[in-house]
Amino acid sequence: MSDLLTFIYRLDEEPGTPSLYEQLNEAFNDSADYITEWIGNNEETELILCYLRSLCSSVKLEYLLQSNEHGDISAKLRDYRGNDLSEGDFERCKKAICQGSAVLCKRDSTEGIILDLEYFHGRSVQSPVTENVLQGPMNAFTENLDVNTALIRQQIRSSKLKLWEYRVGEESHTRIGVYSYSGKTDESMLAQLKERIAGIRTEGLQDSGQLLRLLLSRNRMKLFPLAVSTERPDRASTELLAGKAIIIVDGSPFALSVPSIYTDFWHSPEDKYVNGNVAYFLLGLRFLAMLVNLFLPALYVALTSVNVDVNRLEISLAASASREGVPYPVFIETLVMLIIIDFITEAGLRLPKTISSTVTMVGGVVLGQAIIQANIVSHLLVIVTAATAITNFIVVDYQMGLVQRILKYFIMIGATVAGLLGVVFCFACLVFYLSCLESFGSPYLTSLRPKKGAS
Amino acid sequence: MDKSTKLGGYESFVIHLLYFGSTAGFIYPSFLTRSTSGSFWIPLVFWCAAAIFGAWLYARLLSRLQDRPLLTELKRAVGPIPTSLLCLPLFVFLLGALVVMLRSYAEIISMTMLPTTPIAFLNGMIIAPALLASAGVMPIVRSAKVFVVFAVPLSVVLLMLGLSDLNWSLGIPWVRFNSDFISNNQFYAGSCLWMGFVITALIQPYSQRSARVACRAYGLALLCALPLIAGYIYLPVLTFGRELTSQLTVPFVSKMDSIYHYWVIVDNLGAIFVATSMLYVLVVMALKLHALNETMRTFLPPLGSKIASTSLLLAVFITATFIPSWRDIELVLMLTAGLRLYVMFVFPLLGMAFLHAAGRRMQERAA
Repeated sequence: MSDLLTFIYRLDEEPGTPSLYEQLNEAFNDSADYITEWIGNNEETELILCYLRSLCSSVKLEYLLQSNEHGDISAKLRDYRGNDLSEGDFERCKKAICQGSAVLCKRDSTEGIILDLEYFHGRSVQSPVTENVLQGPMNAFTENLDVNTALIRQQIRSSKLKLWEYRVGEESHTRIGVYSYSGKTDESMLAQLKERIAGIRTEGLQDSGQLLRLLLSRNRMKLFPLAVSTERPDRASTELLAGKAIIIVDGSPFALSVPSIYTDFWHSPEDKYVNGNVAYFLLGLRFLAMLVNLFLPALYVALTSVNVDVNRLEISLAASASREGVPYPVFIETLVMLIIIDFITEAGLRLPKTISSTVTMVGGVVLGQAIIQANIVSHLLVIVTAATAITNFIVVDYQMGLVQRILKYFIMIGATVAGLLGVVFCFACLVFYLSCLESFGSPYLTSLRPKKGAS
Repeated sequence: MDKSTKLGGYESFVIHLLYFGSTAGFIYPSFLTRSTSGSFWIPLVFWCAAAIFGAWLYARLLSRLQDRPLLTELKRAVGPIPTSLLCLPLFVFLLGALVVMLRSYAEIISMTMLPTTPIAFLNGMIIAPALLASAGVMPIVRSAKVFVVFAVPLSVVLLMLGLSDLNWSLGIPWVRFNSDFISNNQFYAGSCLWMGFVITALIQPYSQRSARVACRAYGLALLCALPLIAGYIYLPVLTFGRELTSQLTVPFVSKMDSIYHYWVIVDNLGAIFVATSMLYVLVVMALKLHALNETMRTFLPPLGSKIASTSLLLAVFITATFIPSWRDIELVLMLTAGLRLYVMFVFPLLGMAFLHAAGRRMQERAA
């Protein structure tokens, strides 16, 4: 327990140099929530408490301010039983105030005592918003790093769970927590990760996604997400036990799991909670959906415009009949429909939930019907587009879904140029690209299954 | 998590399987059917035995490397000039094999699916394998592992569909030991199918153990690919007869085109076969380019290797574009048969002899 009175006696006073009180007043000039309170005298010296009202806990402040009597408060300070204290010069005190601490100083001292009175304004632990929980723990990470640490520790009650804290951001001084499970996580990967975090130079850090961008800033040709982002503590703890490292940014409810490989983005945490065979079926379904989502519009273009002979004659005739009266080439027709469906998806995401369903209805049914009646696109293409849109929502990871939305255009261009072969060529290029990617030293296209005999 | 940087048994197996798939379907069958009037399986078995012998010779050579790349070790043992002379036919073989593979595949696309597309545009597909080759051997292997999952089952399905409408009497003579193929150029031209182990020998360092594993993987891949190769030869023969098959440019594609089942939703299975072959071809081209780059890197200073790789890519593209026709591709294969036989059998023997002599010299110096 710290003795506040002893700290006050030790505060330096250097005549001729500006006092801490004056420097802080100048630094926080024009800050409406910056408060300086005279809290009393101690041996003829005025004691002043400086803090930001918006960040300090009113309950904790009450102790020092409630009996603000004009007079000696030595007895009160001697009995102080608060958090640990520390001394600091102007720079340190300024930083501490910005982080929610209060600074107690004499009117003429050049140093102050930092009291941790931070109050975190945030939501309580709730259910995940972006990941639907069908089975498993219903709690989700919050914006508070300490709460998030507690949620992980509640899942893994072991001393092998390690945590390192960093501060990133020259102005934001954001806390970052790096978690690993000792003995399972690859030490070289961990060292590389810590080195990269320490090397980050940025003004401010607001979210884990931004951190990932900064961590991977050297790799400019990346399109695919290289770290799984999750709100669920159960998923984070499972990944930790699987030998991954977890990164959580204070102020962001999303944890990053590194390294992440391609197949990680197709696993849902529920896969571990249901029957193994069902999990395999669901995994197969997701991969099938991925293939449909990526290749169906391209195959439509290839088989109705370039390689018409590949299809059965009956299907080709049906497709041609469906396109009767459509004035545009197949590529334009498909492009228009895909862009419209992406507009609808984006509108549904950005609007409040109550309105988004209306937009989907208007976009999907009314616009779909109208566009066919206006002979702008064929009936068959509406089915293709609808199937493409539905399969995009089967993707477990939101970032991977976004990548797929972009890639289908790329494959469709391949189909327009070289038909079926263009589709296969684009698929090959995609695999080549994925083969060259690495996530924190681990090949992106790799198996999680360890090699036989490997240590 | 698998972070290995060397080819294991499975990786070698996958690469060899893809190598067989890339060549067996559209270049090899016409050579084999024209090479003999006897049973087709006899030259096939003959080549299998020769290929296993060649792979064994290479395994013996590679087992002496002590975890060093083949060409680096040869250069260290006998000096740069003798090694360059020894490797020149190897380099020419690799370059020729790449040009032939690129052009023949582009030609088949032109014949079956995209008749109006210029060959130069189709040859442009080499850019993708070139970029993959520049990323190193492990990305190629990872791609190969993905492609094998898609391509091999599709090939098997196509082969099974090819079992329909067969007339088994057209395969006669089933057992006629005829050695006429020995004196036939086309028989030797078919050697291009059996040389996968030459490429894998050049792309990574080997030890005694890894050489043994690679040899076994080749044997296993050959065993698995044999029904595929036999299917590519016999299915057209059992459909069209020996005479007609030997006249066809790409017999298996013609066989695929002839299949009709009311329950098969695709009408043109030849197109599916050509599209599937692309997966095999792209990976094998990347491997060949990587082997060529590695060969050049051994003899050229590091600064020049990037320029050399780009020049190589351009040379392959231009040569492949300016080959006049399919018949010229066949001619190139027939004319370079001697080169391939040297690479298959003479090069490993010479390599072993050089390494052995260098080892003895070192021992004498030490004594």
